[in-house]
Amino acid sequence: MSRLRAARFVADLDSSVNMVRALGRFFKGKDHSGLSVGPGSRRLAKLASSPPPALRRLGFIAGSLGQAVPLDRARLIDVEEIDEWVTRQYGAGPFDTVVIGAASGAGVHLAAALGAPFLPQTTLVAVRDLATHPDDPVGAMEALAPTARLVARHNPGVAVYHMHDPAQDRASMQAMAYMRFKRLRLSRAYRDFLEQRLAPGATIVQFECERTWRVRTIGERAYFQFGCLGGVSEEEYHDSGERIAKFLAAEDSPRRSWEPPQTNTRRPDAEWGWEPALGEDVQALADRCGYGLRHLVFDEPQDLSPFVADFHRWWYRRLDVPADRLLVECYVQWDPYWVLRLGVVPFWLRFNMEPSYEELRAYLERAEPYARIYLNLFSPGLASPGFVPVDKWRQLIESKAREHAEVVGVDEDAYPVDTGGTMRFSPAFRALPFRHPIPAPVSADDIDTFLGESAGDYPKVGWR
Amino acid sequence: MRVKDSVVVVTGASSGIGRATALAFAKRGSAVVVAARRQQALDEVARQCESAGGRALAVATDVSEFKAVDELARRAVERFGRIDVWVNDAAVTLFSPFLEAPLEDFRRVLEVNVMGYVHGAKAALPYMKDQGKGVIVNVSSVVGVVPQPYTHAYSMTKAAVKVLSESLRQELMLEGSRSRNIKVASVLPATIDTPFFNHAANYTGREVKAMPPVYTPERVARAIVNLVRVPRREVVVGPMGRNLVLQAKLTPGLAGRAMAIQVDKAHLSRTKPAPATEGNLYVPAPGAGSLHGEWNGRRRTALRRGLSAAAAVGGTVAAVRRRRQTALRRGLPATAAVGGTVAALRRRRR
Repeated sequence: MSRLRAARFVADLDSSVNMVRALGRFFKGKDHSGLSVGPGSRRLAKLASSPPPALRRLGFIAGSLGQAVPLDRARLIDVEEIDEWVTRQYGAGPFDTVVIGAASGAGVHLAAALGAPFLPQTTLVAVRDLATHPDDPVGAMEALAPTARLVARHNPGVAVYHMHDPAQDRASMQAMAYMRFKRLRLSRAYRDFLEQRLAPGATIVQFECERTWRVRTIGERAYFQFGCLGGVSEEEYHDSGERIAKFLAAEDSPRRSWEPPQTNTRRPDAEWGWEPALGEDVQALADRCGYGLRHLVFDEPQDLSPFVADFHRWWYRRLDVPADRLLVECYVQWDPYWVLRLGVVPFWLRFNMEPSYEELRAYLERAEPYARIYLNLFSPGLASPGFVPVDKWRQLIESKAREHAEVVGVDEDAYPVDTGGTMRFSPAFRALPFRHPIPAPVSADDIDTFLGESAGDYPKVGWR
Repeated sequence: MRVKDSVVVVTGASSGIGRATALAFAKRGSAVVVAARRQQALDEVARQCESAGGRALAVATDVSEFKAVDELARRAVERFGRIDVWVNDAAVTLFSPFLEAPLEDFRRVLEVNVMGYVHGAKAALPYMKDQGKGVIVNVSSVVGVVPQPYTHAYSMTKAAVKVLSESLRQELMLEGSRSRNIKVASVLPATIDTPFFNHAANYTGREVKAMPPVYTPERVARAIVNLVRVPRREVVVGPMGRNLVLQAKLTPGLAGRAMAIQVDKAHLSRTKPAPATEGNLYVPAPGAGSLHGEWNGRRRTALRRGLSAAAAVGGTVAAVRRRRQTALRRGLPATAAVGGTVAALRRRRR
């Protein structure tokens, strides 16, 4: 019963859940096809992306409704059960390394390289909401506050964030509200996993993303966050101007600006940020069990991408695998299995927005040129402010690749309402012509060696 | 009791059942004294009552204060000379998980729904005893028999109202001939299409909906008028309410479980979150009030009746056809089948 319930409480598009699923399947020699829950099929993807745009947008909304927990079940949400679900995705071990903490699409490849399961600090539970308007953040906060408080009370070891982003998440927000659960204590499931399924003297690697966001406290351990990392800056969410007015007009919204509630504090970002309170429990457990504890600290989730890409180049060179093929992945459309099978260097885009574009551009400008660059894009269901069209991405990679550049796994006619995108990316990776055996995992000490030998400079990443 | 020319006091008359009751009495020629907290709404109800042919007096009253209720009774007698019928209908409600319900809100529901009725009976009875006759109608609810989760306070008060009616009735019986013609009755409506649910205090985080099946407030008003004509101890309004009350007597555990599931799935929205609100507990909802809510009680009732009639007709046709086929197989004339059905029905009636 609890197994089924926990499975119903995880959201298929959540970054943490996709890290867990991708790694769980990677350790079993499987790919992250269809986000590990659906089919990976170009035919089905084509079929899904063939209806007219309005129908496809409705498809996004209907899909969100299916992901969301009905309000009467919110009282049953038990983070302990979700954590049991997480630990069930991995084998019996023993594991030499485990990763715990903030989600990161670059981090998923580092964890795969380390052969390390990932225990997320934050997971998303979507709840149904057909009543509030995306452009009425105060109304949404007030309507969902009783639910956020209820869930926080039932789960004393977590902070609950009601995250409300009417830009990037607009399509899904027609049907659901985002509740993110950030663990402040080690749950029994995580504790059991760390005590029983790690090898003696194993290393715990803690991902610590220091990104914070202004929030409004709506209860004990319950917060409302307006906006999230993407194409709109934190300041613009809270003081929206001409660009947002145009966007709202294009979306047929009755409003021309956002009027979010007054905030009263800053907290770790709802989706990506690391809450240090959990670190105390991890440190105590590591001391008690004789595990090593290493910290990978980064300012923004995207900051880990160049670091992880360069680490893979260094590692591939050690393995005599060509290190001049780059695969750019976007949001949760990552696949550690195919990255290693293809022998491509992974570079993760947090989203298909201007800041991620700039990060990729800066990386390609400073990195040793790649011969081949492949790029895949996640379809968010609409072109929100800061959205970068496919052509611009293509121009960027074509200008930087020495031999070949290609956008793969994207139906460019349907994009960004490419309903079949999640079914298409993995077959597109599989179709690339290279093959290599999956290498043996590296150890945490290899990261020290990499940093010692690397010419790269990573001022926004700390490894200690 | 004769309804025409009787003097009727109705509390909670600004909307819903109270308003429908006031109008029903006015249509039948009663003098109506309408009471609630909202003067604007009361004035509108009084105007409608006068348009319907009755005489009306609007007295803004908070039933949780005995002085105000006593003053209401005094003004009714001052204006119309007596009180024949007193309908206690003013009520508020609170939806909340038990531990989340603010104590003061819980207490307020008890104050209005129980003490408001006590105040009404205490204010009306002296006049009725002087007159030697009268009817007190206490509007309870089926949730007074089968309580609901999340409306502990409201369910408690509706059970209390039933008990108050019974207790008063017994006391009046013991008083003998002096009070023989003073009757006390309880009305137990099922879900009624009124604005009541929109005005509820709510801490569940979910929108409150009327739990189907929904009946019209006019139906309750008719039941109250009929109670005055022919007093009875208790009347349940709505077939589903009657089924529920019967089920509670036969299988109380099952009835409770069914009610809990029904409330969770159909009384509170599963898709529409709602902010915490104290509703109209302390401040009445603004505006002129209304008779109906947004739950389409009339349309739903018509639809239910239509479907029931269709099912009855369909069943009869099927039964007749089956008999006819049986008769044909036996070599009897086809008309014998219909004759046989009619004869069978007659036998059953006897």
